[in-house]
Amino acid sequence: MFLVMLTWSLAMPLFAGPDEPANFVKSAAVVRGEWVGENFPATLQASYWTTYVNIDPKFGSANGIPWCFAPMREKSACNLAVEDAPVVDVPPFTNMGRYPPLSFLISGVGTVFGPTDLSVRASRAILAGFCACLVTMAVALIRRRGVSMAPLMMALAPATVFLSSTMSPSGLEAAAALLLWTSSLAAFEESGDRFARWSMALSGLAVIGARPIGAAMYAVIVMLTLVASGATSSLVKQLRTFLPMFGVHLLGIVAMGFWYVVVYDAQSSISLVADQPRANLLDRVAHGLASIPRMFDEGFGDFGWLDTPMPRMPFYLLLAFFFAVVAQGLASSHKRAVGAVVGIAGVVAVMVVVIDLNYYELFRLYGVQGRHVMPVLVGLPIVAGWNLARSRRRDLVVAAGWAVVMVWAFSGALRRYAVGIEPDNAFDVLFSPEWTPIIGVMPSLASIVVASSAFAYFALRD
Amino acid sequence: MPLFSSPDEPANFIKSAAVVRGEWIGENYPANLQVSYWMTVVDIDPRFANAHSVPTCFAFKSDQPACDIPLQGFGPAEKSPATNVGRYPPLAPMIAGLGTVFGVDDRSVFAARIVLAAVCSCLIALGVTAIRRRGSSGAAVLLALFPGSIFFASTMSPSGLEIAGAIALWCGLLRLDDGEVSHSISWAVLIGGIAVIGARPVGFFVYFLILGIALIHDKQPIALVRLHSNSLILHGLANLGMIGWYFVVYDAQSSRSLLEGEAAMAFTRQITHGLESVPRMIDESFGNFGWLDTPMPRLILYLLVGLIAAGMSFGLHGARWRTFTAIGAGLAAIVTMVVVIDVNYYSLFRLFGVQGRHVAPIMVGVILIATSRLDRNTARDRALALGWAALVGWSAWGALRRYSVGIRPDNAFEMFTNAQWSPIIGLWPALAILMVAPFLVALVVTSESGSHR
Repeated sequence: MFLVMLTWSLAMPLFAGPDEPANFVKSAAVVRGEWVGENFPATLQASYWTTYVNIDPKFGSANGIPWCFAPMREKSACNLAVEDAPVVDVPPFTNMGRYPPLSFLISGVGTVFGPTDLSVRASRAILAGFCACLVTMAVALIRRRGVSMAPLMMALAPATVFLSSTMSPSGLEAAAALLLWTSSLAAFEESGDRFARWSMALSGLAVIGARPIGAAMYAVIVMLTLVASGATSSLVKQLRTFLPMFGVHLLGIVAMGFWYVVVYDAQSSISLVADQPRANLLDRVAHGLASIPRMFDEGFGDFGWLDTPMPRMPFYLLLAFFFAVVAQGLASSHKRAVGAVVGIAGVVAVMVVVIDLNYYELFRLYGVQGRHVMPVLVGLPIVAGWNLARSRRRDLVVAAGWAVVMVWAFSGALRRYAVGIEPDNAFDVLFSPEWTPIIGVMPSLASIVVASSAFAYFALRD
Repeated sequence: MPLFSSPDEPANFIKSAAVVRGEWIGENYPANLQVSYWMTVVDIDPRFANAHSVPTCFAFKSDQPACDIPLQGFGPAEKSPATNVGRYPPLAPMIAGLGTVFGVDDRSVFAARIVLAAVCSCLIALGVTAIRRRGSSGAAVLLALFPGSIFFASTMSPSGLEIAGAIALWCGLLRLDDGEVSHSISWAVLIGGIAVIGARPVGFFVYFLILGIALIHDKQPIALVRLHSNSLILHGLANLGMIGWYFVVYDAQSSRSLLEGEAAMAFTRQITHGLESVPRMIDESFGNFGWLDTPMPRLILYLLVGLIAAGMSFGLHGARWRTFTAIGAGLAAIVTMVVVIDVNYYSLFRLFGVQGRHVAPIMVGVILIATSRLDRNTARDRALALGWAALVGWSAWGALRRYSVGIRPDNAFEMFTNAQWSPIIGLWPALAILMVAPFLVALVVTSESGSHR
């Protein structure tokens, strides 16, 4: 999995991840002791969470780099190095300034090389390595149970891999959520499984700490896995076993609650647009509901700054595999798992509407994105297929399908950055690329084919 | 649905009226890029030509509600009406044409729609009966019956007849290795085949494709001849007739492109465009209604893809490799058709024009191959059927919304409070019927009654 993520990481232009420049500056700041920075007065342009950080102003050059291609999908990427880019602000600012520091602490380690491209790549690689470890632990948990790997593969959509590869807290959150769903189910099923409990402890902390509303995500996941496993009564009996882990999680929640109230919400508690007229509530709710299918588009794979949609064909393939695996899983599940799946779908729908309403309150714009609901959405195939028995043929088809989708999605993203998305230029990436990744177009393609196939093979192997 | 809201419905209406009045083709209209290669002028009541004017207030304008301009409300017309499907085969217009008995009147349009819809319903019912006779679940047919197909079958479109015919034919042909046929299976093959062959200009090609893929699936050419010899003979005659029609009538003007000699984009780019159009075929065949201006809500589309995928995964449980081979052949046929049709359009118009309905007859086959061994009388097949019913009802609601208020941001519920257009039976009754009827169909199709073998 690390090789898959590393290939994505090396093949995508620097700062092609959403808010990646801000994440880079924040990462560099956090490991240099600037956990929040100085306040930047809230404006609609800079949002509510921007801060100045007192680090080498050259790091702030990142903020000016991606605009030659983002969010213009028809433009190929451009190779402007951090070390060559002009300094844009002194001191540098980051609009992730008030976000929790966990994922930046991890990616920040890579900024040891200073304000250079190498730092960006190292930061990406370190976060990708961490996410790959989380995914691998989930794979290990499934293998120990001897059930099908298909549901986990369906949870591992190209968007998760992309975000995990490009210095985004959402990548960490999705990978951690994937492990939290898996490990909670495993731990609640078999409380004596120390590996499951350790996995749950680690992933729970990562989910709580990755993004501002991580504690809510954690609560939703744990509650729904409790419903799915039917372990509520046994959990009470086994409370002593789980107490240290829940204690640590509770500390994390308290700390993050404090961070939310004191740091994150310091400026956003009063909306900048409170005096502006707003649409009626029914229309706003209707907008949120109408955004639900976009969550699939973006949650499965709209890469970059949401300017690089996965080609439609692999999207449909993934959608078909996803639902087929969920249906197969539900057919071999208890009723409580069906209830949990319905609960997940309901929570996703409610989240979409609530986040959209909240954005509207803050900006008079709607802003829910697929990555916001991904931590919950990844639970759908995992919960549905928790008891799905291995089937050589079905698992082979799903694993092959997953690898095909991953390669196809990657090729689509590479095409977008190499030549831009213009009508009928799908194959220009092979013959006349205007931008090439650092490892080259063909080696990138070869690497993703090998890495995806290898992951699919190892996931399938008995 | 508003009158003439289906693609080329005005032209199909005029052609239908002409065919049943003895004007099978009409007089030639010289080909030009505006009116295409297949237009003719038909010698019937000139007021039929007013059909062309009716949909102009809403067609291609997704944000505009429909408008109620009655066909009989126009003044007298002077010239004989032209129809740009003049050189198309007469089978579907002959059926729909029976409804035009009321003359230049909205009642004729409704009646023509109803007659064609009834024939399509019979074909689909034959398909359901055939597949149930072989012990499979009728839910398989429902999964192959997209909302888009229902729309075409309801709105005077030869594509509706073609797709319904294809469903019947596939259902009759699959599982030949069971070695026995009932009357319903024989009728499904016979009538479904005739409908496929006669509905559209390349019907004979689609027919042979279906036959070929079905044989890949069952590997029973001798059984096919033994069990369906009479049908095959009649199909052969129909094919000869339609191949003759194709070359003598349909292709009379299009055999030479108006753009011959003009600069064209590189062939590889044309192919690339075709390949990139493949996912659009799913969007359009599953449900982009109207003049491709009424897309099904995205969530329904995604759930429908999911439902079909779920049904296929259950149907493929324990399937033989030749089933997978047939599915692969079907998918390859779809991709090839998309590219070929797109390249052909480009050579004729310098525009790309493949649409989902062109490949839907094969698409439904891929689904039927995968689901043809879906077990009957299980909670699973009932769940699939009820899921289908919910999605069909929901997509009908989406289409009604488009015509009653237009598709504008955040106006999904405006149709209930501020409808600017209502169907002839009223918005609420229409919605109630459209919501309830699919559930009734689902219950009947998956009911335990009906003989098994």
